[in-house]
Amino acid sequence: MLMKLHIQGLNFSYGEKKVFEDTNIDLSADKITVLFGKNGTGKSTLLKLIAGIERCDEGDILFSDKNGSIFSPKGMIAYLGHKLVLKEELTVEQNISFWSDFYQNTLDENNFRLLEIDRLRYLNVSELSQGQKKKLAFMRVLLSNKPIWLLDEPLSNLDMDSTETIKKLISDRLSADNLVLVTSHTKSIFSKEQIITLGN
Amino acid sequence: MNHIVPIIKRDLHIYFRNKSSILIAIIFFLVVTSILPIGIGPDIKVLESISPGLLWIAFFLSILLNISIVFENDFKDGSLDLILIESELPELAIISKIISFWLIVVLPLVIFLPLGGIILNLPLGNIKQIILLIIISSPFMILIASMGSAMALRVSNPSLLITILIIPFYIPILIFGTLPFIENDIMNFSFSRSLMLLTSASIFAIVFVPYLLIYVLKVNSD
Amino acid sequence: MKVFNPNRLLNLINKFVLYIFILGCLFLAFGFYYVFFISPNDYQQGIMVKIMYIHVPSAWLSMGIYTLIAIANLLFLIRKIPTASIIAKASAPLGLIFTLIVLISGIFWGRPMWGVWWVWDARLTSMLVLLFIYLGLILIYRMENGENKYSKIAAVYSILGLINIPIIKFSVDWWNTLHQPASVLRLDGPTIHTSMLYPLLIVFLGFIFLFLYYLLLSIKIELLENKFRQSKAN
Repeated sequence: MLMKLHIQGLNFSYGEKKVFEDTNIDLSADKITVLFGKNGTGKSTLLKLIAGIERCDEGDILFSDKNGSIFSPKGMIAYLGHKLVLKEELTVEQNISFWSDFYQNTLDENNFRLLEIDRLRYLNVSELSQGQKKKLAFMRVLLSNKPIWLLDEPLSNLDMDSTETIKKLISDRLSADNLVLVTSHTKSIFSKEQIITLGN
Repeated sequence: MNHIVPIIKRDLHIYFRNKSSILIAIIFFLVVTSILPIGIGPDIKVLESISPGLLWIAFFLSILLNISIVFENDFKDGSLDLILIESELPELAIISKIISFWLIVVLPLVIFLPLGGIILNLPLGNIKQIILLIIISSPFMILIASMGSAMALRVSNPSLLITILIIPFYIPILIFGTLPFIENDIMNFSFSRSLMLLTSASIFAIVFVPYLLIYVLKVNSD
Repeated sequence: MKVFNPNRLLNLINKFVLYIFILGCLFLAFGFYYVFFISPNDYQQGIMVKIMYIHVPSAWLSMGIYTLIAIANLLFLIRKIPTASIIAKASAPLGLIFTLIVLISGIFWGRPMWGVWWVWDARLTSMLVLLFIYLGLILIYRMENGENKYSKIAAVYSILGLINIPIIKFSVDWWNTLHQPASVLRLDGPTIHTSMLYPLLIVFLGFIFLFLYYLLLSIKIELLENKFRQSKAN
């Protein structure tokens, strides 16, 4: 049995514009879910609704664990959106130590080196490039060690090597009790993926 | 429980990076308290009789004009969303933000309150009592002001709006905080009664406002 | 709650709004006739006492409207009825106007009576606080830019400000101040004479109907605007 996400009767409007009307979605933990769609189809919005940042007007968003019982995802979600949650005034090291304390987890030095940002350790975040910031932000998701990952365009702004590294780190995450949801405007990224297309 | 200290530590780090921001609150407070006696004129007796209120007002303004920093930085880079959805007890996390603000803005102000009182020619016996009242009501003041900050989160120049929205709620505090020290026809409004009222206001605020804060912050976040 | 359905509400408004206006005018006309030709002058204040007939109903309305706003916003937040928010938003400027009437009429009444334009006693101060809260509320409503966030924020603000209403009502009883204590809404019944009570209530009713008239028109405009915006977006 797997962790599952069941969305039923979702209704959400951004002001006057209806983004989701009676939408139903089902996904499970055995594959990486890719939310696919053109700009403006509501990919980021759906992620925020699942994460709990936005509240839906109507509908149910239900998580069930591998035994089939419904649980509240409070405190179990790692969300990476367009805002990277990086304190520009502090160093990489200080940001990471905050996250370690916040999530009560220690940094996996391997991953740190893998992403090639360990040499940037003592620089201020404001001095990093956009791609490096993106990698650092992903580092936070790894540190959080949460079972549910909601990642909004995690591969954007990255060079080829970094893209491959992060793809691998995401794929490694797959298991019966870990749910991974990713938005993208390209398909066929991961070997084990289920695609949900928005915008019909 | 485990989020409180990291959040406070991090906020303190950020503010100390930007050394001027602590000084600004103190300097503003001193400037305001210095300007008021000039405006009132040379009559010391007049200044003395209105000095309690002036001290309170200088304190209010120093808080209201600075309160936008409590959520602004975290809102801009998404840390606010992190706190709201990824912590097990968002209410506690919000309280730690409030505590950071208290340490960064209110504590320095409190240290300079006696100086402000002297500038305003407050009778020395009253200075201690007024400072105690101000400290006791500071949780209420900060929590209500941060409600204003949460409501004005997306506004580009929030301090004026926050001041307008929140001053009506400060008026009772101002009244209770000055009545024991000025002549009035309301009998028996003693210092201990003020202390009791202001303490209960603060306790009330600590218990109820964090939930409201989270609601408004969630409404206002992306 | 079917009355909160926008289309049904629009129908109701269109049907009844004219009658409400006429009723309001009738009550006011009768009320003022009573005030000026039947009700006696106060032996101390002379004709100035007649300001009371504007001042007191306006005070009741300014507090009542605020309570209405808070209740409507509670319904909006808890039961998620969007029309309730529209009712609250439309009521706010009207409540502000009545609060202004109270304060201004109070000033013109107080000057000859007490010798001062203003005094910082409990009731006047808390009425002024109500004025500021109305202003803050209207400011929040004006920030609305189509996403409906500010309706919720205004709702929270209006509920927070509700604490002020009992303070206004009871402050005159708790603290002996210059403003006279309650003479109508008291547990032992009104102490005011019927020759003054009746016209007071009639004028009050007239004001209520006029308030309803303007409220319904504002709601209608808001509902029509919403319909327009929705059809534009879809």
